[in-house]
Amino acid sequence: MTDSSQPLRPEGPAGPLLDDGLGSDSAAPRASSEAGRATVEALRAIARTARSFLYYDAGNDAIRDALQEVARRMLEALRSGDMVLEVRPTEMLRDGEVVYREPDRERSLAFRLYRDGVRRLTIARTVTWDELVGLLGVLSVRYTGIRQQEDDIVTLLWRQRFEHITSRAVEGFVARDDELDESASPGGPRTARQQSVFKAPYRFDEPAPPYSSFSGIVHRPLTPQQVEMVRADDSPGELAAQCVDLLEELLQPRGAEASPLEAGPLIAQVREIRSFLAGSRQLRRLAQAQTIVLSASEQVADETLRRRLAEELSGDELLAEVVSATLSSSVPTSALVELVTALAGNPVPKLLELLVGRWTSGGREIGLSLLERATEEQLTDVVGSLGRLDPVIAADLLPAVTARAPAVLPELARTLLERGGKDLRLAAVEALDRAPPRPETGRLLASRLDDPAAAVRSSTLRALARLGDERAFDPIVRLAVEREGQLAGSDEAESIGEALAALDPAKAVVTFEAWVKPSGAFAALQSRKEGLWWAAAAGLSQLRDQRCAELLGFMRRKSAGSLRERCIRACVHQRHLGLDGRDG
Amino acid sequence: MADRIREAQERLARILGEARAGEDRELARQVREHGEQLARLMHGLLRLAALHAPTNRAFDKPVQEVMRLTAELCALLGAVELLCVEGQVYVNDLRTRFDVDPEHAVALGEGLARHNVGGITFHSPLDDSQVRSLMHLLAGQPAADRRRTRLQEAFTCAGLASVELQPLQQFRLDDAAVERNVDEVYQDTAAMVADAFAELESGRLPNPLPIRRVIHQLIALIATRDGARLAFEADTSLPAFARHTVMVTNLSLTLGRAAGLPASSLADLGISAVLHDAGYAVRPQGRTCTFAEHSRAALDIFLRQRGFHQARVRRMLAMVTHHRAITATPKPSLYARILHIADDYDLLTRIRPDGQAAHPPPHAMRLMAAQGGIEYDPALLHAFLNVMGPYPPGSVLELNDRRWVMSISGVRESSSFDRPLCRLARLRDGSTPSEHIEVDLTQGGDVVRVVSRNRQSP
Repeated sequence: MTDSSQPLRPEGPAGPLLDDGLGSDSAAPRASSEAGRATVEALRAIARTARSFLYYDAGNDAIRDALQEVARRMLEALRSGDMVLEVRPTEMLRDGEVVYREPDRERSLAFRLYRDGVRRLTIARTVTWDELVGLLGVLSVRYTGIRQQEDDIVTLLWRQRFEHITSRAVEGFVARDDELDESASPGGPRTARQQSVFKAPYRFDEPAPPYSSFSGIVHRPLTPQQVEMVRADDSPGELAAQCVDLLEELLQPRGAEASPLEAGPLIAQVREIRSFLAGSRQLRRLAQAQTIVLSASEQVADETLRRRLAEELSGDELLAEVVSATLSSSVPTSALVELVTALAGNPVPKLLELLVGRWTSGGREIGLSLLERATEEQLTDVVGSLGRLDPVIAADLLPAVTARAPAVLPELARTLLERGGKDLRLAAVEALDRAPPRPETGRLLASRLDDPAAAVRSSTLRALARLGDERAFDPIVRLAVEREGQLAGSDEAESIGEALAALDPAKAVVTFEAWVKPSGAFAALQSRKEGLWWAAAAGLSQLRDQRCAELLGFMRRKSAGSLRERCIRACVHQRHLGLDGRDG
Repeated sequence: MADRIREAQERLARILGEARAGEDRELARQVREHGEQLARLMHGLLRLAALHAPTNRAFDKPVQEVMRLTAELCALLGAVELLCVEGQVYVNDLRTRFDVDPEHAVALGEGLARHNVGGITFHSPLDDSQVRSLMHLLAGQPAADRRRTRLQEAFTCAGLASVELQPLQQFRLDDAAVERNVDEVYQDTAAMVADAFAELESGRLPNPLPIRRVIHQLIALIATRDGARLAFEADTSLPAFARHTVMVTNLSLTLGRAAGLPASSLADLGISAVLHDAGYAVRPQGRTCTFAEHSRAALDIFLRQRGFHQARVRRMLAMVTHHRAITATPKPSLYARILHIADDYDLLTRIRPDGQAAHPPPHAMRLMAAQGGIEYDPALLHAFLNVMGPYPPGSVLELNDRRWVMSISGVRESSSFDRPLCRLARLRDGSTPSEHIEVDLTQGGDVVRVVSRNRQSP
């Protein structure tokens, strides 16, 4: 047994297998030769594996173990040469020896082959592992009782295009017709049903094509390009395109050929094709198919069919299949986006919900791509659904949404700031910060100065600072005074100081000085408000004013620990600005 | 090795997934369940009928059940075929299970075998009296000779003409008879076509599996023989209704093989060819389907088949587009392009009701050759011309020695492209030969003209 890369070397011990041995009531001799005994084990392993799919999914460890066993046993069995198996109803023979017997037809590998007409199965010594897997696939289909209305086992074997596995097959069972009417023509009808058809005249009197030009005829072998073209058109890869063509033929009939089709079977066919295209990750073809369905839903004459087609356009089942196919393969996101534009209604919110579970494993990229290409109408729906999404994901999407539709930001931000969780509020603040200022921006941001989350407050402060609306000054001062006890060493203190310095430098200096050197009769008795000193240090370091430098120098001398370090850093920064507060 | 095993698991998952997608599970479940019930009931009724008169009330309930089951199965399947083969019971190719009581399957088979009957086909649902008559007759004493024939006659007299008795069946034991007589294969083919058309006429979907089994035999034939010659010789032995369909099927398979299609694709192509004119078997609004309608007339029926399968998709596409030119948009599918060539060749050369063909075969070939790239796929047309040659079977030719010969072969080798094997049709003196004499043009004789418009003897 060989393959294109290297000989097969099974590894690992054989795991527990289903019991499927030779029938215990067999009276015929079992194989006694070395090749025969090896074949016994190999066929036992193949039968077990094929039957295993009744109990396990293909990915199960039991299947893995079974496949290892098959590989090992087949190597042994093929050492002595090609395996030519004669297939009988309940047994198989190799070189005249019984190498498989299973009288129970439900369990019997031999019977399944025999029933479908296979009388000989030859596995060449040079069979590849891929071919053996293909053979297992064919046998497994039969074992799991999948009743295909298209393929018998001969066709299933042919479809694998084996080079090293061949079979001889006959018609499965035939009539022992010993009562044929002697006067009846051998080529005549055999049944009552056939009789009426046999008597019918030739009816297919189609017109002959109206050709009038002649051409000479010479023998000319097909060119390699022509051979390749035929091969390509016959390949499984062409099937997706053919599915789309068929849908077009069914839903958009032409002229005189047009005839209404029953809605039920037609819709079922649409679903089957779409399911195939989604499952095989042919998203561009799926997009084409959807476009055809969409067009037909608007144009087809039959009202029932039109309605049913419209219902088919945005089924959640299809979306789920599409998402799964996109995430589990290398299908480019652009193919999915193309498909989305072909779907009726707005599938984007639903798609985003489907992507939630896979956000960190590819879903994010798809979600953001969808938003980048969404229409304004689709975005509006997305905006409306953001509050229902996972907050982390909604927060992730908010920048993309507002970048595409800035006009929605104020209302969206208001909603999220009022009702959203911390992540959403933070995202809303950041979105307001990034967006071009609008009349309501300052008010919306200021409403978050008393946000319960420190991160949101800090982000709000920075946003207000950048916004530059002086009306925020006093509320920030109030915030600082109210939260003085929690500010020391915090990012919020930094943000407060920087914001005040940015909003109104002159006023900020006065405020900071009042915090650092309070005046009044009882000022000396008051304990130092560390939180305010922190904020002051942050703010003073941003201002190019000698008085600030002096104030910072004072703070440096009067403080200790981390606050002093903060003041030192601020002083250093001041010196970089060309100011020196050492004498303050 | 671990990687190879994992890849194998993934591949097997795909194979099973694709197979499941192609399965109409609901249909299979219903057929299996109903079929098993029907077989059990028939066994029980046979035993009952041996003991009691058909009017006995003991029959009431099981008879009602048989009526219900035949009605449901006929609605699902059209003709319902119950076959007993070597202790097994099959309903339309689905093996029924008698896990708890396997002896019932054997007993049912034995009960039928007394009359030399191997199976029963129900062409329509049965009513109460029909079921009782059926069981009474089956339980009765077999005739002295031609037991099945006599029983069928008795059925007809008892109003059971819709119930068809099948001969005893057996598994073909070995492949000794694989090399079947060509005539037998074509008789099978005609019977298969008749069954398919009969189903279509009744508004039912033909079962593709029996069609596929016959196609396998045709593929085996053309693998070792001259496909063009086979098509020609079969044509005259076939009943009129089947000639066009079988000719197109033969030529399509021959062309497909020449174009390099593998056996599995040839099998799918063959079924497409058998059913390409299925529309004509349908009677829209009770009238004969027109040429303009025929491509789509049977679509409603074929759309009833559930389960995604590439053969189905390609078959329906071929049915609808097999008259389209190669220049059409979208381009017709591969099967449609093959059928187009085979179909048109037969239409150009088919004997019409007035006894004439539109064109002699050599002229038809030259007319079609001029349409390469316009009407026909040029590569496929080349392949067709390479197989048929300038003097396809049926061509009547006058040689330079004034003899007339009829071509009976396609192209045997490229070096003898225009020198087919022929049969002497007329002697130099104008008389008809009294015996079959072959004339191999590779051994001498030059064609001076194409003679007759009639495919048959001049």
